[in-house]
Amino acid sequence: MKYHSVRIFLIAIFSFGWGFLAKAIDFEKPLFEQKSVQTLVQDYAGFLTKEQNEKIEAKLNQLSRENSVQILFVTVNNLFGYDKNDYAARLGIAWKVGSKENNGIVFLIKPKQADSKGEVSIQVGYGLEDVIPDAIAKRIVEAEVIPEFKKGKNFKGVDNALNVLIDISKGKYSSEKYMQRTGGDNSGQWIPLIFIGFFLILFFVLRIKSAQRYSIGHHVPFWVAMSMMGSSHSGSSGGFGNFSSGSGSFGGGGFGGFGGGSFGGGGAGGSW
Amino acid sequence: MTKKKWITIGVIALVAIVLYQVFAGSYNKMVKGDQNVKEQWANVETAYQRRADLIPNLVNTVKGYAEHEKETLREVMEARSKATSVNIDAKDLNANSFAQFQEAQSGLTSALSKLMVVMERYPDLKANQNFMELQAQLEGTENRIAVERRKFNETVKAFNQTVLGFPNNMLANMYGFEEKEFFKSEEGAQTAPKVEF
Repeated sequence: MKYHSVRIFLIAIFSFGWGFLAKAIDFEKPLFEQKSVQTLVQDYAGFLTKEQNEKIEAKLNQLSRENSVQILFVTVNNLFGYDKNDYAARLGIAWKVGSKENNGIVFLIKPKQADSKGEVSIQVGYGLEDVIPDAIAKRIVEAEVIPEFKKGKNFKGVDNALNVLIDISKGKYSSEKYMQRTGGDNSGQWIPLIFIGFFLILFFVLRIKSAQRYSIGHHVPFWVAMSMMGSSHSGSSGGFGNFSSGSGSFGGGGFGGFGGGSFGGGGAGGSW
Repeated sequence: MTKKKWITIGVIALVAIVLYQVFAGSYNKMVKGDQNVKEQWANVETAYQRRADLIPNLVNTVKGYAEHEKETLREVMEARSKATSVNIDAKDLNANSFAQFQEAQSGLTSALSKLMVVMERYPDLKANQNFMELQAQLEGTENRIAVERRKFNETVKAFNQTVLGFPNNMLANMYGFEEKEFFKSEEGAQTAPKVEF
């Protein structure tokens, strides 16, 4: 009985806390006049579904862990009369998106409404201006984003743009390369396959070599040694599995927070 | 007697240290603020320079398509050379030179927007790859200019608050620091001037 009332009390406090948190954003004011929210996906306009937002967030969290590049994806219903680029740059500056190397990106969307056009802006932090010049940002907006949005494929447009931004900021290909291939065909996609193939071959060669050594030392047939190696390896690969699940749980924890990046107004935008 | 003497020395030393802290502290703060303003002024000039650098390329691209717009193009080039000729060192920033700088730059801004209106008449030009890239860059620079101007005003505000507050206002005179000028929001401080194509 006593426990019951305690539980109710706790639930009440908890839900009050949630209500409080949910009210932390005041939609009557631009976001950059408010305290920063430390997540990389902030879909206030409900532009994407929950699953889609989670997918994107996982991708962006991974990028920020591996390359320290922080891309803030944010959608709002109201720009309060600010130009989209101006709004996005102010947000990046106020919330300090990016690390100390100023490698932040703000990807802002204001969805199309009955009485106003849809607006997109990609603003690039000082440190990424060389990697993603204005013309590239413009191209991404014009070629990857807007055509999809016009077709009503919100997720595809966002995902396309993020993939290009992630690949370029990781240095997977240069912005010139991107400029050349434009429309986003998949000509570069076989490169990872070659790498995977190479490592697989290397792995087998090494295993065969050590199995051969083992079979010579222990007077067992080569194929027996090979299968023994296999079992001993599975032990260590279990360890490897643990390691990856460890980093997986870190991934669930997500994002450490914005790190002091600044913006100078580089980037581009578009409307649909 | 000796005890009293030591106390006096101690008090004097303490007062000296406190005074030194106040003077040096406020001096350092002002120097730092002054440095920040100068740095930010350099960023402002870089942003404007960036715009000026784009113009010859833009004019050359437009020339090929718009034979009849020689006059508009000439005006843009003139405004550009005027704007680039007004270079102000951060330490010479005063009301006068500031106004001069702003006038020259806004001259270029209006010449450019006039050109952009004219460009509407040339669909071939608007479809040109080179022109589209230039237009993206030009939009980016206008936005950069707006951002750097705003940052400049913020640093100046911080500096002025330091210099004008008590007791720094008395020290500032002594050190030779003065209140600094802001950018006036003639181009609309709230929104970046829109380059519509």
